[in-house]
Amino acid sequence: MMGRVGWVDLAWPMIASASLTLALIQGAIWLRDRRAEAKLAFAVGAVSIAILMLMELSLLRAGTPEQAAFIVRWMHVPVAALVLSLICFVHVSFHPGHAYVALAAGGLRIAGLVLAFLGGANLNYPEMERLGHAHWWGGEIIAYPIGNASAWLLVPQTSNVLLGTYLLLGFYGTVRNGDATRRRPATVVFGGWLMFVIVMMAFNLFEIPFIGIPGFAFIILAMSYQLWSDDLNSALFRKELREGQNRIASSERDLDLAVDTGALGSWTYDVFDDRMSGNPRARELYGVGLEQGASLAAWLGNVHPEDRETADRALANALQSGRYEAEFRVVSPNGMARWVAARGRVEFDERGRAGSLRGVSFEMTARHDAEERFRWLVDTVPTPAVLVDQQGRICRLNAGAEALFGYQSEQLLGHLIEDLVPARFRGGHVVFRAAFGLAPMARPMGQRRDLYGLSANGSEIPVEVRLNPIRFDDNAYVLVTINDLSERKRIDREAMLQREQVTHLSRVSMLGELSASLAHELNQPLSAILSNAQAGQRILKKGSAEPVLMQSILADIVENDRRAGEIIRHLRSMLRKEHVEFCPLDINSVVGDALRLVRSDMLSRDISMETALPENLPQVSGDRVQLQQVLLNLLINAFDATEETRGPKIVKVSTCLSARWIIVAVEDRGVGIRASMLDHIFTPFETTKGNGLGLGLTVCRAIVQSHRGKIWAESVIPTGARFCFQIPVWVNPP
Amino acid sequence: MTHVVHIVDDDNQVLKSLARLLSSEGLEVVSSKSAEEFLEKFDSSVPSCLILDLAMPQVGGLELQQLLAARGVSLPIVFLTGRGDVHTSVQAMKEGAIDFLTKPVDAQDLLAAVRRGIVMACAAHEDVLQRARAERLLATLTPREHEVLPHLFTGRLNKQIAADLGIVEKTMKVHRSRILHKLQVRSVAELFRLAGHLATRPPRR
Repeated sequence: MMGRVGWVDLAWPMIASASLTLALIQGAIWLRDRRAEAKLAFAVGAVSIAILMLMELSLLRAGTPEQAAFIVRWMHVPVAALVLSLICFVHVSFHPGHAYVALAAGGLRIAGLVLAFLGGANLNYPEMERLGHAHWWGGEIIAYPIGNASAWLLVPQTSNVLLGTYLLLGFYGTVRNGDATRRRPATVVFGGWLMFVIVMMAFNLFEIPFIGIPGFAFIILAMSYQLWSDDLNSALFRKELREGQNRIASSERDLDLAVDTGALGSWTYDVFDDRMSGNPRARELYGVGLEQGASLAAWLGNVHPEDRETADRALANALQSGRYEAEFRVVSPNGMARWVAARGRVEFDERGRAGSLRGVSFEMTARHDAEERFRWLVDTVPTPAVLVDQQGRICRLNAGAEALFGYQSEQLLGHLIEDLVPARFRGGHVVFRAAFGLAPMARPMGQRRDLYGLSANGSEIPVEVRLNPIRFDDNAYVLVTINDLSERKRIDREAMLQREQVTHLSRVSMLGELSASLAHELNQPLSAILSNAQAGQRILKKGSAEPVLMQSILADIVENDRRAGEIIRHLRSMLRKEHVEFCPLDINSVVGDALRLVRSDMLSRDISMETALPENLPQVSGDRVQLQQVLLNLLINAFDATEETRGPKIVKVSTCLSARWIIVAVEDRGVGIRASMLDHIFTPFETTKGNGLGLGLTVCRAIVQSHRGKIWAESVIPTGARFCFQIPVWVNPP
Repeated sequence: MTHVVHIVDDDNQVLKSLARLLSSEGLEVVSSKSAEEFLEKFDSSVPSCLILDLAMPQVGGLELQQLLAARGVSLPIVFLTGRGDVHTSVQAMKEGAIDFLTKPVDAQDLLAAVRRGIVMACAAHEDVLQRARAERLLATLTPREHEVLPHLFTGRLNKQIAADLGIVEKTMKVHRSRILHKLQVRSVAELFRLAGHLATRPPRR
């Protein structure tokens, strides 16, 4: 039979070698680029077809039925391989879903393969009866098996049906959901394969003498078409790629420059190949020598055990999200750990799988130390301190702040700083914070206002706040240091009370000095009352009482009593420890009150008084008693000075308006004050008087200052002194 | 004789009440608010008593006292003051005040002092009047009678005085009766009294 070589002997091997060639090409491509699994599937399929073709050839040239049966049986192997590779190919290329269908098809095919070798002559025919011979053109005679179809044929047939279904479903899904670029190859591929499946089924059903097998060629062509068009596109892309690569190369050179000068380690991790490559600095940072291999494990081998988890997690996150951010310690052989920060980006391929991760790493020990130092700084600030970020959120509290506000750090982290401010100030605080953020400057906060903080239990704490802007890691923060003023306020209150007491005592002491004169003042009305009353008595006794006269006497008595009462009332008001009460006053009337009190004293000392009190002076806002106290003090001082001198015994009191001040002056021609002492005399406990406390002028100054005024002393020529104080004119608030 | 009480006090109410009190006793009162006002109102021909407040502006009580003394005005002063200053009171008394009273003053005390003052004033005034009369009367004597007058004081007999003067007793008797008549005295005893008025002079400081 095998004498002459027919075209069948040439054609079948030709097709087989063509398949093999394609298989080799695609296989080679896959070897270079392991990710192109489709190419592997194709290669396997193509190899299977090549084997099938050769087997078919020998089947066509079979001599005996046993030979034919043997070949048919063994043909199931490459068919199974082909089916499986088809399934893989379709799945990998198109992801059509319905994996269960494919699995069932594949599973059945494998079952059929097993069965083929188990029972009977082969799967197709339980018994190979005989060989038939057919005549093809060209004088070719080919053999084909004749027999009854086996029931087991159903297994591979079912597999074919499932495969067909899978293909149909996949085709439908891809065409419906896929984009235009996929439709054409999908149509070709699916169409071709479908044809193959049908042909295969027909081969099993209708005993077509193997003509269907060349139909395999169609499949090859279909696959090749798809892959060939890929290759065609890739040729186009390669050109663009070359240009792109040139660009990348130049920017990489720039990056390298930046990286090297910035002591950055740059690296690339090929996810698929598990291959890391990096610049020398990167190697240095990770402690990976060139000989240690390029796997990820090798590179991360020196990561501190405590940080391994963190590093792994960061990588896993990156492969999901695309951004890589990690900080961990790398331990060098000599045990030194340094903090390394890594940042990178994942490049995903067209199928959304992570292709490569490119990034930079840098040492942040210094910065981490800086962070540590920073944290330590906040913690060790002696006063309570709170670190606040740009958005006003609390980043850190030190122990002092925790104690002051009564919180644990964790309770406040992330909260707005306004949580520590009493509700009524919160709105304003937010505004203030925004304004501060625009022009941050280290300074105390709220210089004219009383500030309060809000503690955990709801109570308000008087505080003093200082703001210190800090830049860290390119972010702006504010370190807020806080001083609890409760104690200080308490002390201030006490001090104020004591001041009030001193003022009062000074006043009482002064009035004590005046007591003789004041008694005399009282004597006048008392004397008048007595004389009037006794006159009245005598008149009545004489019997010459006239009602009019008596009325007059009684009226005078009442008048004098009132007068006395007035003096007493005035004295009382000066002696009582009144709380300071500011109200609009006419300064001349205050001067008048003071003069009334010293009148007797003045007379007894034989001092005469001159006054210059212009009318219609604008009012001042002040406390009547305290201003009188000042005037009394100045007047008594003037009297004392005048007494000691041989000069004219005259004291002048004047008031005047100057700009927005009312100025009161008390002038004497006494011994005067040494020029060097003019400022000093207002100091406490400075006195030239033998029996004085030396507090009078100090108290005067305190009083005048609390009236927002000024007090000073001048020398008078030839001798004498003039004490002046000024108080702002009261402006009626609109 | 008529007399007047001056009150000087710068306090109007006190002035009024004192005037009322004194008036109620039937005294003639003149009120002044200041030393100057008093000096304007003062009439030395009327026996006066002065109630004087010590503490007054410008010219005080003590100053007025000194002023009056310098002018040779003899005026009983009752000082009235609201201050009980020992030193001042001593000084005032040394300068010749009748009394030094403190306010509020009891009517009894004041009136007693005032009466004493008035008595003194009147007496002093009386003295002045008598003296003036005596001088007036003396002036009516002739020079010869002036020569004879001192001899009358010796208490010798007319005969003896005539012999001293070298005149006759009868002439002496005529002189004697004329002198006595001119001087409006009835006896030599009265003459002595008249002479006494002349001899009494107000003390000078």
